[in-house]
Amino acid sequence: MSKKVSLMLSIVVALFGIIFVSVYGKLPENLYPKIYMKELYFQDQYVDEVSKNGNKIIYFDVSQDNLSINLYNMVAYAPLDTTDITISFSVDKPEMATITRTGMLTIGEAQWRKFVVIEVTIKSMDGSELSDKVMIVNQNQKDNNHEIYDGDDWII
Amino acid sequence: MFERIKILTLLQLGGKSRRRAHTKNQTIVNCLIKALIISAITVAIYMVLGLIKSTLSFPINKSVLTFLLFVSQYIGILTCTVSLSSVLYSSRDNAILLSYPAKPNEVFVSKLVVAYLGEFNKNLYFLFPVFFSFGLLNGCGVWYFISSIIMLLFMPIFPVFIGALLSIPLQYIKKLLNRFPIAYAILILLVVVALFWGVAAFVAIIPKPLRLLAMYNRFINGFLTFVASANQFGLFYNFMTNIMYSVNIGLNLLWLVLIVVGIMLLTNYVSMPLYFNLASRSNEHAVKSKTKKIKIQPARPTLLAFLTKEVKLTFRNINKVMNDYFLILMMPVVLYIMNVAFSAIVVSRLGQCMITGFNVLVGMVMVTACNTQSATAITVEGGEFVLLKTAPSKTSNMVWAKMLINVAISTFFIFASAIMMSVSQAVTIQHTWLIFLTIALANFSHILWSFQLDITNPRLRDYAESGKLDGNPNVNKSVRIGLLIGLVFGIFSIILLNENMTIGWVKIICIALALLIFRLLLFVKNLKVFFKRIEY
Repeated sequence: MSKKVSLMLSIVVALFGIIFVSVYGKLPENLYPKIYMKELYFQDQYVDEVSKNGNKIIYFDVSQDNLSINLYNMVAYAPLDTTDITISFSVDKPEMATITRTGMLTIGEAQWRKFVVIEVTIKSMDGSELSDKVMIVNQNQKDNNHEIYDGDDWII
Repeated sequence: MFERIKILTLLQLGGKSRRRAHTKNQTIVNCLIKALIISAITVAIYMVLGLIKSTLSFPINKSVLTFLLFVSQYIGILTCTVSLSSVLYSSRDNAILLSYPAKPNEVFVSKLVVAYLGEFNKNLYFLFPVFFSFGLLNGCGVWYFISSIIMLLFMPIFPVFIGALLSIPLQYIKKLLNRFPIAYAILILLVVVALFWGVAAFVAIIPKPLRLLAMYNRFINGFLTFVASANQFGLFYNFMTNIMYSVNIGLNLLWLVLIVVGIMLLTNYVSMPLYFNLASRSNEHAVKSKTKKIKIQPARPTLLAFLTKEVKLTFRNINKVMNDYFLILMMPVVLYIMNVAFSAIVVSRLGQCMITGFNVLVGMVMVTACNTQSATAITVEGGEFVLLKTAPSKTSNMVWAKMLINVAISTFFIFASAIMMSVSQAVTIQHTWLIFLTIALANFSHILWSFQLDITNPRLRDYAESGKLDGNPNVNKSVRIGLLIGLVFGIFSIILLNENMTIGWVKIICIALALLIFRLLLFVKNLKVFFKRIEY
């Protein structure tokens, strides 16, 4: 073993130590200082339209490409200076769209029907939750609003 | 010409290879062993990457491959530049090779061929398994695998030829710095300041509180953004991955070939003409000798005389200082970053014990790796050692003088690390100083142990002949023992402190003290018996 190997080993052990302590040595989360999330929303710049029912709609031209967007970039929340939250995304039609752990939403052209509803949820350490929804609509369906609905809340 | 280059290359390769094959069968066996090792590494990397992809949702794609490729190759260019500057211009074999009936240009080309083969060999053990694993995991076609082999042949050209070009200014800078050691010291100081500045900037971006699991998605996103922006600096390595992933193959290949030809032409017209001029000049006259009038001083105690000599030997060459103590210089930096990350985690009592344990472990591994000075202290005296022993005084005192230097330097850096630890506030002040005491005691034991290795098995003749410490068994043994001591103390710290904090610390300090006394007694006994017996 040489000195270089030792240096590499030390750095690896240090990284391992940080991961190990953050997983097994952290304080139970119920003992964390309380952090209350104040707001969470899909940012206006990404929203094309807000329906009369107050639903946020993003139109997407399916004929151009498959839809693949990063949902993390679209969300804003406050307070921003905390890491004591867990963000999760869900989709109402999992057979139609997939969301990876990194927040990438993918819908293949063949799978497009009318729209999908994406919900983002933030859980704070104190157990409180905030959520927001956005509807991603096939551009071709823009003029057929009467056909777009999915449950009572989402009739445009 | 080609025949002469081939002979010169084979001569240099013969001196390098460890497993020499004398027959055809041995060559086949060596090749088979190599293929087996590469296959094993490929399987291991494939499994690790597959696991990362499936369980951690970590992207294994073209962008990440480009990032891995250019980072590894930039490191390759850096190491090639440094190694070529010594291999081309100040290698010991230059005196022999340049005296052969061959042109200096042929020696130059043969050295580049040897460097190319060395780089190719390195790539076989790392990049080939990575390429293969990426291809399998992404379900790439046949072209990917064929082109990756072609790229493996292309790749070493860049670090070798760019290294040959950059080694010329580096050589001039080296000579300049040798002439002005103060400038060298200022340069190193600037590098250290820049390093600390970089560390401070890095540390500032660590979020508090640090919750790695909750932040996982954010980390992956950040990493991908970083990779995408870093790949803009990937230069021609982007062409390589484009070719492998069948993106504009013709155009990318054309650019790649043009760049290779350009670099080769530059080397041919810039480096080669300067080679003989630079290689035939030694550093002998780089430093002007000064004649000082020395006052005749009364005789000093042997220990003090040896100590003065050791201090002069240790600090007279800044290159040697950096080479010997680089790792320990990095220790405060590594421990500081680690502790800042720890301080950002809201830890339980067990977590606090773990932090102490990891500090002890990492600190000991780093500090003990520097004790190779003690593990080679007698060996580096080489042929002069027997002359030293003939002095009409207690020459065994030289051992204590050498040891004292090692103890003083390593204790100073352990102290500096303790200060950095207390600044980071990951551990309390009391615990910081107890960690310092534990590491210092264990380190002293390890120095005694390492020194004992060299006293019982000095390699004076090897060193006198080669002037190198490569493959010295005492060095390897010393580093391994250091790792073992670090592991034992690290694990013991976590267990004992978790049981009872106060009693745990008493036990740890007692164990460190007991180890020190034990090693000291053994060392003194070995010194008495073996020092007299050491012969060239």
